[in-house]
Amino acid sequence: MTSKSDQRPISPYMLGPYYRFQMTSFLSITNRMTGVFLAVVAAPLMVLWLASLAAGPALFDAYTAFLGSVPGKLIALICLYCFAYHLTNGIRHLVWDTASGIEMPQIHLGGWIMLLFSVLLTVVVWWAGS
Amino acid sequence: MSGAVRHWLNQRISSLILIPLVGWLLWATTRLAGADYATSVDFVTRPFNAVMIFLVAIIAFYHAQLGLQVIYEDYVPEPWATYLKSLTRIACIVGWLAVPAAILRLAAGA
Repeated sequence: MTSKSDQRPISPYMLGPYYRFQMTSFLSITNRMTGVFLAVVAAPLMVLWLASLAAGPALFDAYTAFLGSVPGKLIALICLYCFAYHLTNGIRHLVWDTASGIEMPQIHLGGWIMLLFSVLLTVVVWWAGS
Repeated sequence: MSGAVRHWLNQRISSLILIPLVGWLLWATTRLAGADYATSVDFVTRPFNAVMIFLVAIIAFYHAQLGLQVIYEDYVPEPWATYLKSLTRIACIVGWLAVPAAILRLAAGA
């Protein structure tokens, strides 16, 4: 027995084998994934940094030693790229909210510009911090 | 204004405010990467920096909560979506309390 609600069409997954690869859907889901990473990994790591600072030099030194290690630096680099991506792509979404730049060629061009800026921002911030 | 419209609008308003705040945060991380304890305490307890850390934490956690809520609604079946929403709200409140508490403790000790 199927109820009426079971027969309603569900929105298709725009990635994977069911759908042709498109830059638009890929950049969109990546915006969500970078946001999740910032919320679940980057934000707690930064709060922990502040908490360890408040807890005193012993904990702070241990924590920053971890952040300065190779795995720590790798996590920091991923966090930085997520910030750069979510910031630049977020600005792109805000531009769309004003109903401008929503023709397909503009969307693709904006996507490439955003990717370029996100990488540039990551390189500049990483270089400035090291 | 309906709840969904309010949610949509608050997500945009918090995004706009976060643009300059995250710009400052990235700059701050370049100053603090590899910094020792005394340098870090000095940075965090400067009044302007303390206010900026407080603001970025308050608004970013709120923005994260709004964003995560939409993702739960899109991908997680009930009742788990509601549980995750509550868990996220609790984590957000912990962050809201922990950040000013840490700054105040450092400011009091400095």
